[in-house]
Amino acid sequence: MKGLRCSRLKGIKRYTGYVHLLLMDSLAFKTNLLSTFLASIIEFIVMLCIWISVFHSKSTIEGFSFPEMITYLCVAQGITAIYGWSNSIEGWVYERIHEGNIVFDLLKPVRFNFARIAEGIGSSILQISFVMILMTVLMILIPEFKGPRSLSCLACFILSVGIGYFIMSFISLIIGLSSFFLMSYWGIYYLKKAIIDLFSGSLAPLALLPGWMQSISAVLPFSKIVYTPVMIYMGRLSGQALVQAIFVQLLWCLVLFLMSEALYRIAIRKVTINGG
Amino acid sequence: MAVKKYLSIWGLFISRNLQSKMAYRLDFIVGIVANTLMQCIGFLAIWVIFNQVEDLAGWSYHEVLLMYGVASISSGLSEFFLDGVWSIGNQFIRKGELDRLLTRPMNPLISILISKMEPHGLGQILFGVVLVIKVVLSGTLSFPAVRLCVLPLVVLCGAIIYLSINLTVASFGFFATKVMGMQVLVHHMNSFSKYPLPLYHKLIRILISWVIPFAFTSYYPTAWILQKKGWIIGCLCPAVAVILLFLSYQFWKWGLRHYQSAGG
Repeated sequence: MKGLRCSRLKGIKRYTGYVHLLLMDSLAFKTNLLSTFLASIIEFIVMLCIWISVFHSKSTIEGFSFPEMITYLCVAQGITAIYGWSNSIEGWVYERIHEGNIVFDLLKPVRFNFARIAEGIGSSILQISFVMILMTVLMILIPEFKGPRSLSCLACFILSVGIGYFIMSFISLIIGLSSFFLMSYWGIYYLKKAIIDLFSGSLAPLALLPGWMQSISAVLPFSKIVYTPVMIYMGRLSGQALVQAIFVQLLWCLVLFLMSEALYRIAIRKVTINGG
Repeated sequence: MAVKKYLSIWGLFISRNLQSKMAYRLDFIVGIVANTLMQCIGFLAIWVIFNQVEDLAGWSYHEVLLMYGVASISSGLSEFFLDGVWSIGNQFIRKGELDRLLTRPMNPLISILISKMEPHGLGQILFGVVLVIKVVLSGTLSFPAVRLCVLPLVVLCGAIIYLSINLTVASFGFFATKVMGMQVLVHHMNSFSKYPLPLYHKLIRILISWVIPFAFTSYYPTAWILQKKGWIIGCLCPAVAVILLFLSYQFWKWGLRHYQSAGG
């Protein structure tokens, strides 16, 4: 019978419900999304004005020409904007733990971590659409904003952004699960945002940072979220270097996935021991 | 005297708020660390820029740092003391807690303002003060040191301007729902006030100076201290603060009357 067949959804299909739910949710709250989106455009305009002024006196900065810097800025900010404020995996995890609703999630036949990521995807769909529209508009308005070098460049770029998205999601999960020790999550949210802004390359190419920060950035996963995809887009990573970069991204993805799973098990033990 | 009464109540609320925030030690520390880190990122941004060029729109490295320090102190002050304004739309109007405050023998706006405090504002103030001291002691700037005496007035006016702007937007909560997004958006415009105004397009300059006057919290006062602008601008800063406070308070009162006459 049809009813029974639906209740035995296997694999990925079980999670599409979460994607759909959060997509509808984000559509309902579009005004909020729009205002936070506009807020990040303000930051973008500030940076644009600064770089325009800086390039008045210099023609290249650390190997970036004016059009290249503008392209970097636009693409880096675009990738950062995909995550936005509405995609708040750590917030959802925190809420469930602190309001006790996590017990209901334990009863469901879905993996907690994957369900949260599915929610994140649903929430991001609208955000990604906004960003793509914005990028197209920017490309028309700003002649210095160049397109990708080639179609294969674009394909690799999209792949890289996709992997970076999962890296970011796992980081959010880890932070959300660590919220056991904290009462409010605003502090850690801002801490995460600050650290990621710093080391991901979303504000400026990593080459502009002081040397010691660049070294730190190389061993952290954050630069693989923004800096790697942008470099691929601009054609600065190709051939062997490109393959290597994607491999490093996948590696971090795996490491963070394992960390999030381990943390989940610790969190669940704590929840069940404390009587839920 | 009414002022004395308010000040003593205010002191009481501050210590109570601080105690309750410090009860969650880790939160408290994480909040301050996060905020300090964000200030450092702002500082790093300035460093990165001046690593490449000698001046930005006619302002030198230390001049921009001074401006950033002053901006940090103002915004830190407003975050620490005046955080209540953010909750007006959601907590007080929508959830009706405003009704409870209206029964108190105290101005409801003051009740709202003293009810919340964000300790991370302290981190911002400290950061700004350290930065200003560092810049002044470095001796690279040439301006009459006596002008620094206006700094307490400058940051007070800055905090008042932040309050007034935020209060005006929040007061729309009496007439519409979901003003939080607008509040966040308008508040973000203070990003423009962290860098010298000549950097921007004329439209942005007009917006930040005369429509949503964040420029009077940091750029214009610092420009006067550094003798880049004359005494007219110098006098305008406190004038703008007072005028804005008056206008925003009137708007708040109007909204409040509307709220009460609608049966709360």
